[in-house]
Amino acid sequence: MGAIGIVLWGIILFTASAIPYGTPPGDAAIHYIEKGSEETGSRNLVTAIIMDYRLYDTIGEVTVLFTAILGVTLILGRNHHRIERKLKQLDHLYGGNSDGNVYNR
Amino acid sequence: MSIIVKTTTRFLAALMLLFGVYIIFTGHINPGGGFQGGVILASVVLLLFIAFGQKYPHIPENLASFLEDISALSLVLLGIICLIIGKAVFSNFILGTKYDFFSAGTIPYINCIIGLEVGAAFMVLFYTFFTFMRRQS
Repeated sequence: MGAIGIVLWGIILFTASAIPYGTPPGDAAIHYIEKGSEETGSRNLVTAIIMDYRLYDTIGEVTVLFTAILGVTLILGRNHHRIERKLKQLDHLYGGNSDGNVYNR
Repeated sequence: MSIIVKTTTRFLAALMLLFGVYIIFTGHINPGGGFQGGVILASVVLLLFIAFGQKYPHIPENLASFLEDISALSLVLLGIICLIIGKAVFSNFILGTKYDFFSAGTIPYINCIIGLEVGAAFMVLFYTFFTFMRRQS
């Protein structure tokens, strides 16, 4: 199985390296430069690309930020004292010694 | 904090707020945009936290969280509005006068929404970190 995977990987790399890709301003870049401010009406070409043509990319960045904040708020959030109180109750029930510190468990 | 920091913060906070709003509003004309302006807006709140303490900015954490949710939701709603109108999702469906302040169709509105989202998200982050720090100390 591993040998087949390595052989396939090699074939893919060889095939991808054999394709001619052309010289730098690609078709999409030429379209952005020539028609970008025409189609979006924006004076700033970078904003025209990231807020119009590649808006999905920006939405993904916003989603990453949103999820990161969600994780931070879940882990370090403001309702943590409730969890601490619960754990203290559990420790009291089961006879453990509690110092109220949740983070060193 | 010392009186030097407090006085400088009083002087700088309004200017930084103005600069952040300017960066957001002229993102389609000048270099700038929602992310940068939002981070500048949030750094004003961080400056007020550091200088005056957590209670000073008078922005409840629930309001910041609510703003973050609403702005992230309205981005999705914008895509749905594009679908309802009959264009592709997130297409630029209104075109104003070219190179004007009210130009570039949906780009300034998306900039405003993203600026609000990023600013509110960082505000929630600072609130959470400050509360956590105070509880740990």
